[in-house]
Amino acid sequence: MDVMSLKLLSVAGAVVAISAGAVTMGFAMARIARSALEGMTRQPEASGTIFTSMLIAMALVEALCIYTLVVALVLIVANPLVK
Amino acid sequence: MEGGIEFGLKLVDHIAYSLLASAIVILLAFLVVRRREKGVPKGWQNAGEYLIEMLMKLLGEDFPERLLPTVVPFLTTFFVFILICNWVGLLPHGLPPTADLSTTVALALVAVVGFQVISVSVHGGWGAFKQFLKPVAFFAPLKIIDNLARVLSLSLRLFGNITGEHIVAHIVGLIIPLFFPVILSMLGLLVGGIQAVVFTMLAMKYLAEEVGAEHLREQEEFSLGEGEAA
Repeated sequence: MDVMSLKLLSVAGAVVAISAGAVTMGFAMARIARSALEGMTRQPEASGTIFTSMLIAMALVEALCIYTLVVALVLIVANPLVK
Repeated sequence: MEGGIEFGLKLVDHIAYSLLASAIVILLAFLVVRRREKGVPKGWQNAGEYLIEMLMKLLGEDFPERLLPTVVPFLTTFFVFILICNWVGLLPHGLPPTADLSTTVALALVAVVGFQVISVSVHGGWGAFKQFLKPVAFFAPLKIIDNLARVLSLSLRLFGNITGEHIVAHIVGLIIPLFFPVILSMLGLLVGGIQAVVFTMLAMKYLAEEVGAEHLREQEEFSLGEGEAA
């Protein structure tokens, strides 16, 4: 396979990876935010602890999307197949 | 990735900016302790004490009281340095040092090694080793993998967030140079703050897990209860 089509395929792969990651993480984070907001409206006095727990949960979920971002960046910037 | 990521960015070395961030942190620390007052603090000292007290309140939920003098400086340093590093990228032509994988991997390694050092200082060498064998010896390989995964996740999360934000801000600035970069700078302020908080909070939870803080707390409360009864 020539270099140009490899580059095109890598860019296409990066786009697919990052959009799939963004869409799924959007759904996951929406669920976290929804349940946290429900908890906060039910118990406003506990909103501080709920907020910090929500931040941690969101960071853990977001890390998965960040991994796809890193893979996409590797595909575009430092692709091991395209020298 | 040598020299960071090039999307037409004018790259100055990340190390220069991390030195700048260190200088700012040292300057801030100097301002906080310059005129120490015992009574009601004012100005910079007030801000510093607010930060420390906030973290101590947060950590007090997880850690026993006698560990706080060890743990609070460790985690506060991470928070302040990462915050300043993230916000250095908002300067004109600035580059956040945390947008380089080397910086974040170094930070995560310091954190994970620091967990073990604190664990040794709490339990002693043999006790820290036995901490790996809890609850059963079968868990030891899992705990080692866990520690390696912590390095990966802590460093990649910080790197990905800050790099992504920086690249988006730069590209939008190229397309619409008029007003939108201001909004994205505000977003960058927010992302930088949240990522600093997230790194600190996760380091705190990992550390609590590593030293078995819950168990220590229960012991302390038990001995306190005994003291009152006697």
